[in-house]
Amino acid sequence: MNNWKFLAGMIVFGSLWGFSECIIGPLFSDLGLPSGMIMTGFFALTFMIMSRRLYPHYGMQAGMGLIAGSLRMINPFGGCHLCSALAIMAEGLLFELIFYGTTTLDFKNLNTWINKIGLGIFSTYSIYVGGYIITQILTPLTFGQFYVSNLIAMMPQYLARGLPVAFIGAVTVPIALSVKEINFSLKDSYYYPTTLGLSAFCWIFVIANWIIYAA
Amino acid sequence: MEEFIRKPMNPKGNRTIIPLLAMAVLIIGSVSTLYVHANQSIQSVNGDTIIINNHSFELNTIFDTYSNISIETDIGEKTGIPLSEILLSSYIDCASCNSYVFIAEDGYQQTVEWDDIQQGILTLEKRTYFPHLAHAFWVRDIIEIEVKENE
Repeated sequence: MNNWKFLAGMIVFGSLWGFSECIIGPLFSDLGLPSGMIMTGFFALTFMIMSRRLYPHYGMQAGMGLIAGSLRMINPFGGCHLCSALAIMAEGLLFELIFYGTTTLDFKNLNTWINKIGLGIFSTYSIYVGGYIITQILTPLTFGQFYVSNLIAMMPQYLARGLPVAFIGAVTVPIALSVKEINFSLKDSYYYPTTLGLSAFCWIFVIANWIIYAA
Repeated sequence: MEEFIRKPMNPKGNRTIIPLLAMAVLIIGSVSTLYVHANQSIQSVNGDTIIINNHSFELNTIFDTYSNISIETDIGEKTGIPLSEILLSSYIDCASCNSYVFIAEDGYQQTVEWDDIQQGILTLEKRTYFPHLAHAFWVRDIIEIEVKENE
């Protein structure tokens, strides 16, 4: 796989992740569901694992996080967009670090269900809690108002919030890892228009959504 | 762009470290959940009062005393009482010399300065809105506003 294909893949998966955070996430919030937990536990982890399986190269998910976070940053709906954008970027980076430490690029060491479920629990919990803590540091820092005392006081709450997400990950990650061999091959003449067209759709939809609501 | 397939962390032979890591986070998450719930039930005994600068105030009294204003936020118009008015009548000597810690029922807390307070409101649902700050500063279910003297 060449660098351009890798980049196009990163853009399309990052855009899909950002699109789901901007458009689907607020729908869960409106229904009174914990959208942050669902978005990380289900959408983010599914996109990142599927992309890791399709494009087995380091750096893919960190790049996806940057793209998804950028898309979230320009969408002012559904809670704190700066906090969410920073959390998404952190989640991509944490995924890279965790999966670098615990698995191989081809996931061959995850040969048992215990390992798959275990990785689901550990990675989802760490990514969600880690992303949450990072955003709770960086957001106040952006406004020059970060206090370590607040972070320490809230730490039990951050650690507790990850528990339901870990259970979502215990289901999502093994399923995403167990889906039979992903064979996704397109000729170059179709590959680039498809990936870039899908990415453009995500960005245009989110921006149009923002313009319509702002008007 | 070929990368070598590296070996993951294996503490012993072919056994991976993953189940141990999973158990560790489950224990951390469970203990934290128990701690948060225990703490929450202690703090939420007086649901109709709010502690400001170590003095307890009835929420209804606060809202009967001060008049509501509306402010524009990025999620629409919000109505509440100016935080500056509440704090100025809460036995505070030098308002601009302090930081203000908003503590929620579940332990969430954020600290803001007097300049921020002047733009913020408290709603009847015990929620603060600061239109110029990120939503992370908008604390809900407030039980206490702690006043901390700036050093």
